[in-house]
Amino acid sequence: MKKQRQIIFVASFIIAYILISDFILPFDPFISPDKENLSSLPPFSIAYELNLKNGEKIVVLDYKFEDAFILYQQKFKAGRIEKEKIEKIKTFIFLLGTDNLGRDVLSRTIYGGKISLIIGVISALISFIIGTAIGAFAGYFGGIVDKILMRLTDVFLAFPKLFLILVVIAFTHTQTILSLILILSLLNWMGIARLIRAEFLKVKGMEFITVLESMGLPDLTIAVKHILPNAILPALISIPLITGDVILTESILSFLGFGIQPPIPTWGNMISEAEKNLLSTWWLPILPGILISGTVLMMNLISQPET
Amino acid sequence: MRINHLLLFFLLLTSLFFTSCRRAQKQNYIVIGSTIDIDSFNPYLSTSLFTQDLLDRVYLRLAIEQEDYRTFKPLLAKRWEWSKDSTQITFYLRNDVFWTDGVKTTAYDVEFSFKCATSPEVAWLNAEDITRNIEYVKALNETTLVVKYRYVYPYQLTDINDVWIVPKHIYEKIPFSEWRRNGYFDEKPVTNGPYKVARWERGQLIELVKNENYFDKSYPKIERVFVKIVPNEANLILQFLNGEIDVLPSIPPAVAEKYENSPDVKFIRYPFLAYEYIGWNQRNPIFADKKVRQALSYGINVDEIIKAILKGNAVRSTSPFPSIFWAHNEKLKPYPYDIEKARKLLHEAGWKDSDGDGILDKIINGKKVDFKFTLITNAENQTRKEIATAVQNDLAKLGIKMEIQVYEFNTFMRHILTKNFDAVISGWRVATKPDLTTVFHSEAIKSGHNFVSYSNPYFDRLNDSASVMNNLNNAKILWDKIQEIIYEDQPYTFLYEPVRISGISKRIKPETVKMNSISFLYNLHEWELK
Amino acid sequence: MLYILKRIVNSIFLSFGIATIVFFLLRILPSASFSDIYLNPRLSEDVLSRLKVAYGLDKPVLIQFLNWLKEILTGNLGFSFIYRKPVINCIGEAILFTLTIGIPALILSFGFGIFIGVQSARKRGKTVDRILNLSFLILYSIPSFWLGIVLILIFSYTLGIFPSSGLRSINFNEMNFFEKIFDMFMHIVLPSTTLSIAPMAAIARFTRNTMLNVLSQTYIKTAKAKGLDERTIFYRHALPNALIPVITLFGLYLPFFFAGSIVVEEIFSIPGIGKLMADSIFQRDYPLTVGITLFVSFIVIIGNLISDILYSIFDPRIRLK
Repeated sequence: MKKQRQIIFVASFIIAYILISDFILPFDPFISPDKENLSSLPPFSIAYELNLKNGEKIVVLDYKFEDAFILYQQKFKAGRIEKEKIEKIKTFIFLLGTDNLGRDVLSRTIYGGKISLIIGVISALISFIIGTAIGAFAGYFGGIVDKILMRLTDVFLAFPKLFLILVVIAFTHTQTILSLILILSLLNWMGIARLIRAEFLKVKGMEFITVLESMGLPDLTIAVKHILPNAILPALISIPLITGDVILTESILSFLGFGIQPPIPTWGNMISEAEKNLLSTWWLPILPGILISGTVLMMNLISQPET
Repeated sequence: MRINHLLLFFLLLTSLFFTSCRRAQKQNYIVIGSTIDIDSFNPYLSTSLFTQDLLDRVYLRLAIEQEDYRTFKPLLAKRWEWSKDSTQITFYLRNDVFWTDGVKTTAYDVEFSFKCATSPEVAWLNAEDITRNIEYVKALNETTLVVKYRYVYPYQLTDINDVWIVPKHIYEKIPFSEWRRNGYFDEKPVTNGPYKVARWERGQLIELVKNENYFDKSYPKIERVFVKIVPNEANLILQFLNGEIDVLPSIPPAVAEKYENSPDVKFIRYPFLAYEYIGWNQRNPIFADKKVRQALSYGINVDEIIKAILKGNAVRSTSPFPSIFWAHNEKLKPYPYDIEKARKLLHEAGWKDSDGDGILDKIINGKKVDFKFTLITNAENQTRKEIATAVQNDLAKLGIKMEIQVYEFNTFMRHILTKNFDAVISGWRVATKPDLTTVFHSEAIKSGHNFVSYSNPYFDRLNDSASVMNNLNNAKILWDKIQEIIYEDQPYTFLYEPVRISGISKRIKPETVKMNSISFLYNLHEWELK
Repeated sequence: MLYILKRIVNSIFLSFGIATIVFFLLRILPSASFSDIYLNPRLSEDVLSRLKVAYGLDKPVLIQFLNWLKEILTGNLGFSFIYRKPVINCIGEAILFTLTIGIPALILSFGFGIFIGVQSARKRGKTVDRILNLSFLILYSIPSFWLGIVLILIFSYTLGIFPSSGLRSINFNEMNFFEKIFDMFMHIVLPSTTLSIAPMAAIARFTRNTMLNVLSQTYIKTAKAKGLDERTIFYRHALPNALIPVITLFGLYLPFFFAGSIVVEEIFSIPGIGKLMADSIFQRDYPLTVGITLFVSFIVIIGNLISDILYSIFDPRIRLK
């Protein structure tokens, strides 16, 4: 199927991104070579690092040679230094500029993407597992178990999601990546549970199951070995959808002050931070914004039913 | 065609709108912008600074605190006399001040207000000092008021002037115990200041208009003042730059830097009686050692933080008294950024990288401990988050591994108050009288705000005698000594005293505007439009 | 009829159950007392405990719960700390603001959503369809706060057409009737648009898919074979059938428009339910938080009920059991 190939392609792309992103960072996403001089540079800025023979490093915004000296310009002062003292001059190129703390925005975006994707994917997978388990139980056993579990699903569905996330974060006093992943997964499994249950009911009614049951196989074996693989496929498609949704939700949580907190970058908190600095450093949200929308878009596209 | 008609209709409407816009040209009013609404018009129930700033424009106090934070000018009280032993002040009130419902403001109102301020049922946030220090307040007649203190101390005027004066005939209708469960006070506030409340649309708008019966007929100059509430800061600043809002209490340094030369707005910078610090939790064995705390203060590049993050809008802080405060010890110089000195001190304190993993370690209680800790701060404050990152980078150079954990405000408070943290970036707004008891006294570890658990008996002793000393010049000598102790012990690493940046539109005559740490609307009634 | 009544009673109990869970959740979880405790060095433990007494937080949880039950039965839903009035009044005031932007947004998203969905189903596979589909997906993929701020930046700051905050101008009281209407209209445009974009995209996609689904059914093919005009088939035969499932969306989206959006109301400073929710959480106003939970989950459940009822009205094949 074309759809399956798409999903596999996207999944492997995400895994590849998570694995290699650390190695393609042009700069350290956490530590700036020089906070003072590199603070808030617009895109395509160039800066230089003069490495002195005694091991000192001076970050300058511009320099020129004059006789035996190098005249250099920094943000707040200018200076000069003898040519022979210098070992080499490194050039820094900040394609997407720097933030208030002088960190390269491109590197932070690349690194932030890794965190965003990890949160999205892991949370979607956990939701998938919870949803599958609940849906399977309800669908297989039916009766009172089904009633209780489906009522539970209804209760969760009835909660306004964002509101509930805020309440839980606000009143549990935890704001770590792990807790965020867990909370988000606890609120996204309902759709999957319903889907799996419906599939279970469908598959359960099929002839081969009745045959298996009459052969005296234990319930668990039938449920896990024979029904689950058939029921699970249609639900798989919601994983990318949830992934996209989680990434978006995280950005909104960041906007409200409840998301992943700096210094760890995510696309979500980068654009919500940029919203606060809209008027001074307008270049911050461009790439993370494009990437976050692009990712959600891609997730939506691959989970769209073929027409 | 139907569609064309519709279009025509819209065009008509639009033209109507633009003409009405033109008619609504700005006249004699200004708009103040704020991200938060006030919480009540009852001053004893309000908590936010912004509410107090605003309420001070509609309620009169006995006197006006001057910008030196020590002297007072008459307001509701025409003059006052001290008794011979200084335990009693007699205030003579003006005879021509009326509440907005026509009733005269008298000494009985003040007497009643004191009851409100000290009532346990009202639970006013600032009640503690007043209850402790003032024995009674008694009205002799309509214009004469006697305030009796339990003992003599330097801030007697400050304390009685903290009491908000509220209309007795209105406020006594509701018993104190019902105050927190009653919206009555917010319905039609009865006030006596230069402005009166015309309307309050919660979460949207407050309108103050000139009080025609204000005793000084030449004020206020601006007849109407609107307060527009816009919770989203970006939206608020856009409206300020757009001219829809004329006054903004605080503006991020980066924005002020960028729009410095704008023809429409002007930024006013003034020191704020506050300081930001990193508090080291001394219950943690790592920070129990004074040398370590000093080393950390040497190892954090505060100047760079001020330049890069605050764009220069701050003054380095050296002690718990800000430099504009009279009790401040000018002789103290900020800890310079000196990485070698920091390394030396850490070495002396026994911290070495014995296992070569790049992180310092030390044997504490027979166990090898890495120099690792978590710094917490609150999510609402962008500057603090950036400072945390800068500090993390600086300390990494010393071989100290610092994690950052940012919490939403209430969660953050919870961690602080339960002392469940290693280090914290936070700030204090300083009261206009010197008082370090609640912050550094060892008594305040259990019940107070000494959450870093700093304890120094010598400090306790000096602090106890300085805070009740009457002669401020003698007290200053003690305060200087006390600040030296704090400076030496570094229970906090003092970062900076913020410079507040407020913005006003150029429609307002800037020379008539005075802003200071007491309030950004300090002399609102004197502001004039061009 | 009886069935509907039963469902309504059921939903009241369900939302009450949810609120009870939240009530206990808030009490059991460790939390700071009030945001009142702004780092104020003068505030003592003594004052704190007095505050607790004033707010009735010193009593055991069970007593607090009983008090709360009493409040619910009297219709107050509890008493808000920060607003100092019954929760029901807070909600009553806020819901007006939420509806002011919610109803236009609802009309906008259903109107445009269905229209665009139908159009792209007609032009299926053509460039128009693709562009519509993609552009809506893109709008859907932008975080709502960012969309709002960009709209403000373009239409308020740069072009100066629409005001960016509140629902009325400062000089509203001095306007004549037409100006007032127009003033309100101008204030509603940006928040309603921001609010409607995401559901509009979803509705458009859903409409398109059901439309295509219907078009592929046999009776349409029969109609085609009969030689009926393409237009007639499309609007007379396919559209009404495709709209049935779309209309049930109305119930499901009800809470989206009527329960307030924290983000949109925050950005455009509209003191509606969403803002109330945010305030109650940020300021730890327990009764308000619980009251709003009750209210919002009730709307969600009612929305579901409405969608079921609508479905049964429009599709006689489904009988309510």
